[in-house]
Amino acid sequence: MGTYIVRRLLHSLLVMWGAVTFLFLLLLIIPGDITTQSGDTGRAMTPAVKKNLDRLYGLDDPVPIQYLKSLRRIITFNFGMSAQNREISTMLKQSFASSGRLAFWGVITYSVLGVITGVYSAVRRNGAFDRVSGAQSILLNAMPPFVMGILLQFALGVMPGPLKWDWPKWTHFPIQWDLGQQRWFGIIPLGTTWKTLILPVITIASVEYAGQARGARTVMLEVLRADYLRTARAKGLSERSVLFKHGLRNAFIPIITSIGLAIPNTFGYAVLTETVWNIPGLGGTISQAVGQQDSATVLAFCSVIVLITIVVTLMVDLLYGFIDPRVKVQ
Amino acid sequence: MNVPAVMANTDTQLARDAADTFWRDVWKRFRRNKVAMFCLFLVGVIILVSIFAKWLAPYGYDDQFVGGITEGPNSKFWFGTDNLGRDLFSRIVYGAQISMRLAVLVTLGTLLVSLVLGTLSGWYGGWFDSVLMRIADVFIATPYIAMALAFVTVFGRSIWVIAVFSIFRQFPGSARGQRALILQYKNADYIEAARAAGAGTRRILWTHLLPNTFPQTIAGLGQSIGVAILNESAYSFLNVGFQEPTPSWGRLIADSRIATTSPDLIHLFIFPTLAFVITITAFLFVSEGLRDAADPKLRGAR
Repeated sequence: MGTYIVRRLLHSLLVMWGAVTFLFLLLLIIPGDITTQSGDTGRAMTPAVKKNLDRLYGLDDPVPIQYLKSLRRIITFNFGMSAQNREISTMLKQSFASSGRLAFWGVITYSVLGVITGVYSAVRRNGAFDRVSGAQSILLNAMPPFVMGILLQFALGVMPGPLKWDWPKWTHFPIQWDLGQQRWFGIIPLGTTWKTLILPVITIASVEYAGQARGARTVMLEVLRADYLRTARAKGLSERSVLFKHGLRNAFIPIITSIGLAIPNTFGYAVLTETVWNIPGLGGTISQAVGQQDSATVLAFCSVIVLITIVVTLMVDLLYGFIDPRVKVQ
Repeated sequence: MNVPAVMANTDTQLARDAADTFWRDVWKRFRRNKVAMFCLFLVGVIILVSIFAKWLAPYGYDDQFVGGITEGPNSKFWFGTDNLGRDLFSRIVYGAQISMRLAVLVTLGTLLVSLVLGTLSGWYGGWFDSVLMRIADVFIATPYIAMALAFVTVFGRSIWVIAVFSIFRQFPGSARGQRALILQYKNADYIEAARAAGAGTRRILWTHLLPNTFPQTIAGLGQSIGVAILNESAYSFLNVGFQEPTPSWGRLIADSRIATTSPDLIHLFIFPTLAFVITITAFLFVSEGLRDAADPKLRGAR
């Protein structure tokens, strides 16, 4: 197990280095650099100013040295300043706080609801619930998060005359993501903050919810057909014990895997969700930084995303070994 | 192989016959799947629309009608007009062409790259496999928004550029799938038998291994087209995809955000979204139907 973790970590470091290098090269071939994007555009930059800026951003070094310096900044977590002269580590904290909370609640929502839906449809196969949730999964699967977001904005906001629905008052959720109004304890929303959170969370979770529900259904159907379940029934266990102790436990192994595989996608969904709900977060910061050719910021953000992705996948793998002792033996 | 020419001929002939029967069986099973057949019909319609967009669209996609700004659906403009007075129906028809063109490009590119990399990776294994899979991991891990933005800034927003970074995003997954298939089949008895009979690597790959993975490959095509259309819409929404006035479906849906403040504009959202959702669902069902028909064992598997 120990060597396995070490090997996985080494692979992950390799992947991270690859991603950072790839992005560094991409940013390098964009014409111009950070100095052409900053400052007053109306006035021509004097060579002296240009020289100072170059020194400030380390552009007077040859490219290989710049590259090594970028790597050093990432390895030491000492990211330096962004193009707008802000601490990159502060920007990281702020963006990841909002995107991370959104992503976290999105993952929780789609895992819990997806598994419940899938397992229930499998147990009551071909029942009304199964049919409805099947059709719903198909629909949600074909709707990217921003379509869901726009749809929610329509449904709760500006439906025209005949389609206008009188929603009960408690569903009048604020559409603004006002950070000043929000109170958080770590990742737990306090007070009425959950109201601003709920629509974005539905948006971010919708696609994966459909996927997880379908996946859990397939897995559970397979488990329900298994011999050991027939044995459990034959020896007279109650239906509840058969389903929960013998069925669900075995179904959980592939379900956890598929949730784990879905987590890296969640950052992608978060970027779309943030755009549709106007939430300041990762997506906005990264696209701004690429626009300004602020490679220090881009590399810092991307490497942290890659790091998180890697840690999560690793954790899922370890959890897998924890749930299914057979994995450890290999 | 040292076989007489005549025998080799009958050998290929037999293989061809077997393949014929196989596809006839697939078609027979596929035809029984009513949902999949209906979706195949829809896919046919969409492909025809995208090929003949020029003749089907009543107006050009950027023709502006000063008299008809933000009109609802009516007899002149079937799906209404947008805020710049452009006929939405024509834009959706041209959008089908653009989205399908991109999807086909991306799917063919992804297919080529993932077939080559996945097959070689699974077949040779070892360090070669490790290196290729790590490269795939790099593309999975790199946040796509940064990659896409850098690409369009450097190379512009032509369909080729968008296709290339879409392929970068899609190939790792399908290459892994192909690799898994190869790993699954490469130790099968018939491969062993072929090798014992003296077949070379190339012959084993082309006539024994790849034909067995072929049904899944074909089924993957439909799914890949759906994913490509979905990804394109996300790029357009994040402003790293097609640019105005190109009416890709993603662009149309993204632009319909202006409608969230006014109920008169809801048609701008409804019609493109319907076209989009129906298309993706149809491709998905056709590909699922094909996979079920090609390999009934996999029925219900995702």
